[in-house]
Amino acid sequence: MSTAIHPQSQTFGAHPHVDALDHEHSHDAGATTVFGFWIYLMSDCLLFASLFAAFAVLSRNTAGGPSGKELFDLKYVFVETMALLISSITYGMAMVGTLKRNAGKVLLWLGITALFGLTFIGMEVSEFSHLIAEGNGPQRSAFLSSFFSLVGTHGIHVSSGLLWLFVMMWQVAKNGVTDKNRTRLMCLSLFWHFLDIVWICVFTVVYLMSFL
Amino acid sequence: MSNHQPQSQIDPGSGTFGRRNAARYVGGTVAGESRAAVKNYVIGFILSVVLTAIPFWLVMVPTMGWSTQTILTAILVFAVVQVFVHVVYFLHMDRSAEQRWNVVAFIFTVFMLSIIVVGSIWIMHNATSNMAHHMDSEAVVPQR
Repeated sequence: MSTAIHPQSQTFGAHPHVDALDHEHSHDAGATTVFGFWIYLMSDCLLFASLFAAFAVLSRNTAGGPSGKELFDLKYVFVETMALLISSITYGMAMVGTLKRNAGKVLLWLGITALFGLTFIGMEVSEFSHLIAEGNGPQRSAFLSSFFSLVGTHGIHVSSGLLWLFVMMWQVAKNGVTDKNRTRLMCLSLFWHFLDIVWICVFTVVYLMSFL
Repeated sequence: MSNHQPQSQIDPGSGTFGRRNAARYVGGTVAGESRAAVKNYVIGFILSVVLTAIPFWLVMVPTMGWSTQTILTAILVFAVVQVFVHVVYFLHMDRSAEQRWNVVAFIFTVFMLSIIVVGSIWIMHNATSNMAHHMDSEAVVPQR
């Protein structure tokens, strides 16, 4: 790991001029990539907006089945929410590690982030399987269809984020905190925090509002 | 020449935390930027925990004697504020020139999604009330 980073820091000290140019160049490329990823996230936002709109319209159509108030456990959702929120700050700490190009620190915090992400997904899968086992799957009512679509889509996003996280851990372990890996980690950072923002809307609109 | 190079210079490749923090805290050191970034995340995290706990508490422990409408308004306001906190402290969006296009894209998206969400609710609410009226009058027919 350290051998992967070392040559780079040597270059950094030895040829400040060349290196500055190099970084200027990669900065432009990296910034463009991150901006492109941001545009993707904005389109993802619209996807979630549609699912939220569907849920808002259908949430009271329970077709004689159970409502959210009867199905959801707010304490459970609160723990889920905290797990995702903690994973947001631990990812932030990994990003702080990229500033000093400290691969060990980045790996440690990415690992902790993965643990909390897995906790969140585990809890969600458990909630879903309980609902389905009790016959309250997506086919039960329009309310549950829209619930599973919205929360499930978020869950699939988080799972993809976890997969990406594991790939990045492998990349950082293999190549260190290179400029390319830094750009990738920056994109994943936007993705991860974005999913936490979507979850704020989910716990408010789906869970809390069904108790009002 | 070498005197002009600070020992641990912010490398221009980072740009990770926006221009504002780098400019405010530095003199140009990585250590300075790191400290600023950690501080940012911790503030954002604490605010988020508070802004999550309060709406959960409002709904789970309804001791305040607030009406449903008041609680609904309150939790929606808390959600909007928390989204804002995340955008500023975790996504590092600010008014710097570097961030301008990100912000423009974001504002446009918020505009579009308000049309989608508010428009859907508005139209479907009208449709539901019209349909309900229609079905009521139909339901009367077979009973006669």
